[in-house]
Amino acid sequence: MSTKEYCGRYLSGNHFENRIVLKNQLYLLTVLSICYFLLSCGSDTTEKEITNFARIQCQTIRLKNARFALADSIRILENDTVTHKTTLLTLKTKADELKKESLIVADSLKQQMDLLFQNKLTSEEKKQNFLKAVDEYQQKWSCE
Amino acid sequence: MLSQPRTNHSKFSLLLLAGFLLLWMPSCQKDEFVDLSETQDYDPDFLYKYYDHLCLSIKTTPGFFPPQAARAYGYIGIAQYEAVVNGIKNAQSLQNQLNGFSEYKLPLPEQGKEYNWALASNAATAKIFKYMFEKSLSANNARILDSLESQIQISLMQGVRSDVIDRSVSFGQKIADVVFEYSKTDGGHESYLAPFQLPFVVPNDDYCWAPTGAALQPLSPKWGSNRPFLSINVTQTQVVPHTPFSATPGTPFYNEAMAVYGTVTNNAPEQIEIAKYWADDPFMTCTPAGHTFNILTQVMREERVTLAKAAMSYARMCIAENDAFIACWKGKYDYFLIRPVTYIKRYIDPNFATVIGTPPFPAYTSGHSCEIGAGSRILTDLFTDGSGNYLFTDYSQLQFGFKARSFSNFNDMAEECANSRLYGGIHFPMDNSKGLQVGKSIGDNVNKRILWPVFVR
Repeated sequence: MSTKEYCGRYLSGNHFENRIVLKNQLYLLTVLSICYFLLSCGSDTTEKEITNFARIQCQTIRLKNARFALADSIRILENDTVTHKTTLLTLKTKADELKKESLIVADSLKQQMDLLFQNKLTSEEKKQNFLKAVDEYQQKWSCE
Repeated sequence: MLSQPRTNHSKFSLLLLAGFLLLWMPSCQKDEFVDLSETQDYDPDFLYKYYDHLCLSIKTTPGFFPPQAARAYGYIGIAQYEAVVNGIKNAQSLQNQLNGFSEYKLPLPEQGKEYNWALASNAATAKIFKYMFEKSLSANNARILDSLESQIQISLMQGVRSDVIDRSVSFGQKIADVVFEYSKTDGGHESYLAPFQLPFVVPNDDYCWAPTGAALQPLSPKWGSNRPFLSINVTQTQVVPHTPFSATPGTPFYNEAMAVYGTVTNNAPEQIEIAKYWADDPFMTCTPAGHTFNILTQVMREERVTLAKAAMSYARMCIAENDAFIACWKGKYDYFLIRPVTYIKRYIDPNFATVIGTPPFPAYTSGHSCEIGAGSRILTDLFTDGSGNYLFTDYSQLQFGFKARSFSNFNDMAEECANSRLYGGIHFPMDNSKGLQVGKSIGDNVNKRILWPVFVR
């Protein structure tokens, strides 16, 4: 049976019965479409995902700045390791702690990024738009 | 009359459902792994996970400085390639192509027997990974690695006969054993335990490197005598001597230093950002080679390559990066050149400060420039028509607090990375330009002197 025949019969058949069937089909189509967009890989990122990503990236920026500042302090003191021995030891302990924290946050951001890139941000345009939205939050929050 | 339309509508609904399922299933990209005989039929996603974990392991394992890290990448890349090479049409093993490798007999697949190349790769990669970190792998990294291996194996085993699983896993493990034996004789075995390779007598002359920080000894002074994968990568890539040392204003050497001084004192914010971006970060780095591998992984993910292309691409990059550090380190210790910070403080401005820390080894040539030069040639050959033109954004540093950086050509990326060392104040311009030259020659050698399979997707 061709589609045309099918449609023709549909229009000429029992109108009420056909309407119920059509309603069911539309309902099925709607449910399936929702499922598709929820479960498939093409759905858009939500505001929550953007803010969550921006929040973690803010932490990575703060930690990066702290690492570079600490590295600078260590470098200056290393010019005279004898005088600054104790301070250097303290700063190196701080560096270890900072590294641990940075690794945890970096790992968390990477996991989120991988998930988003693989499942939702599948095109370059989507990635750029997403990061632009993330940037806007970071500017709003003055992430430094 | 009533039942006919209902039947047809039901059929239509079923068709709709089937259509939906057909549409939905491939869009999720969760490929089922089944017995296949060609490497290109497998998804390389599991391999990316190993390289991600490799980056983390380098960051968190003491003793993995840039040369040691590049070496670990090197042997891991060879093992994972050898584990799948027999499943790639017209591909040749590296056995008779790499320096000294033919003395170590790799196992061959049993004739007429079926192999699952992904399982073989998983087993080989996990085992060689453990070997390369053997005595320093932390309990946490070992646990992650074990869990990665078993989870990947379970997912790859679906629908595969048990004899194929056993044969493939055993084959991969044997490959790793042989590659590890090969690695033991290159001069860098377990170098992570003593990366400064003491004792070493530091020459003391005006032109010579002197400590720039807490490290009073330079890193890995004997690395340049390690066995490279391709001999010509060391014998035929060495650069001409640097500009003759001089402390006299107006001489070419003095001008090199003035170029660093002028750049650092007039750096724009963008240049400072670039210096830090490519510095691969204090305390947090998986080394410059690791950064290049992260870029390669990202490009392969975006290109949706098969396991065949991923394995080959990693192998190329691994060989190039390992050899780039050997060649570069040979030059560094042949010339043992002073760092800009030492020179500038001595002869130009005692209060000079660099943007980023100066690493503890001689200046000429720049390690970053060597490695990115090599890496850029590999990326160019793999993903472009030879021009290097390729639009991409490097997202790999987002996790470390940097904005993503976009490039339209792999050469531009390499130039930026090399220049970052000038912006940072830690290299003379000649260190960077000559380093790039060394690296690019090495990359070209790896692309051209080794027989790689063609038409790999």
